[in-house]
Amino acid sequence: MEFTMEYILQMKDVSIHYGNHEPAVRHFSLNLKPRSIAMLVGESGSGKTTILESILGLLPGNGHIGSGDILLEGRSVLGNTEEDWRKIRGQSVTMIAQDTGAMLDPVMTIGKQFTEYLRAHENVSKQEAWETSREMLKKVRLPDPENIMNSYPFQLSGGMRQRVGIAMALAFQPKLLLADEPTSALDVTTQAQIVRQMMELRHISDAAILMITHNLALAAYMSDDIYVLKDGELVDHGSRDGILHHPKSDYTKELLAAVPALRGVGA
Amino acid sequence: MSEGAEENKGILTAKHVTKQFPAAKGRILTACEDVSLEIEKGRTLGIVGESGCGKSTLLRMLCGIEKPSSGHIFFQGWEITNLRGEERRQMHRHIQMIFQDPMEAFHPAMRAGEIIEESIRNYAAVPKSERASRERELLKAVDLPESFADRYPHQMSGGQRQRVGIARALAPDPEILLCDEATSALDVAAQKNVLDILSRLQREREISIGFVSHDLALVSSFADRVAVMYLGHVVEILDAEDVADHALHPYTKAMLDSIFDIHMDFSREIPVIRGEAPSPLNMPPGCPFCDRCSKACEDCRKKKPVLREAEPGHFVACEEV
Repeated sequence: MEFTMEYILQMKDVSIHYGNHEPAVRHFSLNLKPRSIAMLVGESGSGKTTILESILGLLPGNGHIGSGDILLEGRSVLGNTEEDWRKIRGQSVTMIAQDTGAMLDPVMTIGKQFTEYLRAHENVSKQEAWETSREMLKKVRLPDPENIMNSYPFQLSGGMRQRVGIAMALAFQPKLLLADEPTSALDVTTQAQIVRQMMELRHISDAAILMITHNLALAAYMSDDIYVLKDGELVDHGSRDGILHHPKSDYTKELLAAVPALRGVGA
Repeated sequence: MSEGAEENKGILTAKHVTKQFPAAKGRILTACEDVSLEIEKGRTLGIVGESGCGKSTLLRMLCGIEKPSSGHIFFQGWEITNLRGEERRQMHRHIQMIFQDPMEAFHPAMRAGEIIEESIRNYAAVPKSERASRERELLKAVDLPESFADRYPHQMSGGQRQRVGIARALAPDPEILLCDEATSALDVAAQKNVLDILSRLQREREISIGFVSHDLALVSSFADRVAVMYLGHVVEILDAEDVADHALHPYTKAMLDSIFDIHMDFSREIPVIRGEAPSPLNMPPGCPFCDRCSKACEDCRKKKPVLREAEPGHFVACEEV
């Protein structure tokens, strides 16, 4: 018997369908250990976001898991009730979206929505929740957290909003952090800040990260393992060095060759 | 920069162009300040900078969509800064634009063929009987099959849509293509494909290209010359091949340090520049980058540095390098 608790997340031979169509994701398997970072790369439409959504039971509309199993901390999520999900989402498993700014309430201060989020999941007083929020903002190195707490989302830059999103996603010390292109909307210098932030996570908590990116170089910099998807199928997977130096599939080679290289070494 | 040399080489030239927009409460947003640069004939100028640095505003002024608050724009020595009506329409035959998101730039209920044909009808003196063949020729120029003329924008992939966007821009046989983040919405493979097509078209037709992007690695691998913008200012202009190893401006260097590269040393800590860019509503009197710059001194805060030629053909707006 396999000791599944070794992994935070296991996906076993998962196929995901929308309605009666051909599966959008076919026979996908993945293992993620605590404190490790795995990347999903591939072109748009290859099923990356569908995989993330399936882990949180958030497949839209008629999306469903046709076969296979998804285990969070060794427990299958397939039979989860809404109540089970409520305990998992936002606490043990959290998600950072591409544009956190779009997910924040535009007419509520950061402080108000952060404390509301905390109090929705945990029975704490407003003061305690306020303190925790401020501490979290400080942990993601936002300057002057008190000022941020009293700001509205539009008063913050894209990079600052994204850090607020990360702070919220980390508040309950999740076991697993799902991130869907968390830096694609940001400028390179801000991206560097967020990447540093996410990698420092390992020092703050034991969280594992499963992240989607189309930036292969960024994927390589952050990750332990890389999964390459094409048309819903896993075409390559392995350690960072394995994928970069010994890609198995032609598609991975093609992707690597298409990355613009600063000094022209890649061409 | 000697004025004479500038006019000889540049096919499209901006001289001391400033663009200000009125903002709420009587404040003024300065999108571009005293920008001078040129696109050389048959070559590609990359304009790179982060969001809000004014690069798109600059491109829109070069193309006549926005009018500068002050300064001048010349196309082959012809001042096109304030054209109206028929003159402006004639100017668009020479200068065409390609947008970031063709899904928004196309009418959703027009087929690819109609989208291209409209541009032919508007700008190119092609008799009706020859329009169809011209349309096919344009699709072919961007590696799309004839049958593509019947597709609607939503039936195309992002890369295919962008190629239709290029075909539309090519319809009047322009001398200049201005691309605003033309590949940013595409994945790497589609991006490479679009860039390959642009390079080929440039070789075949001697088209000059202005290419705006936030991606410094992409711009340096695609363009001949690169202009780096920060908070409405051009802070450095240099040959693309020199960007990686010979950039001088502290901001250009900071951007270079922030780029992830598949050939990089993965144990290297990514350096982070402190702070955020100041608001364009609140232009600092001195160097726009001084608050985040490790080299900044007292003078930098007071006096705005001007572009100077540090090496032949390499311009930088910084007194400390």
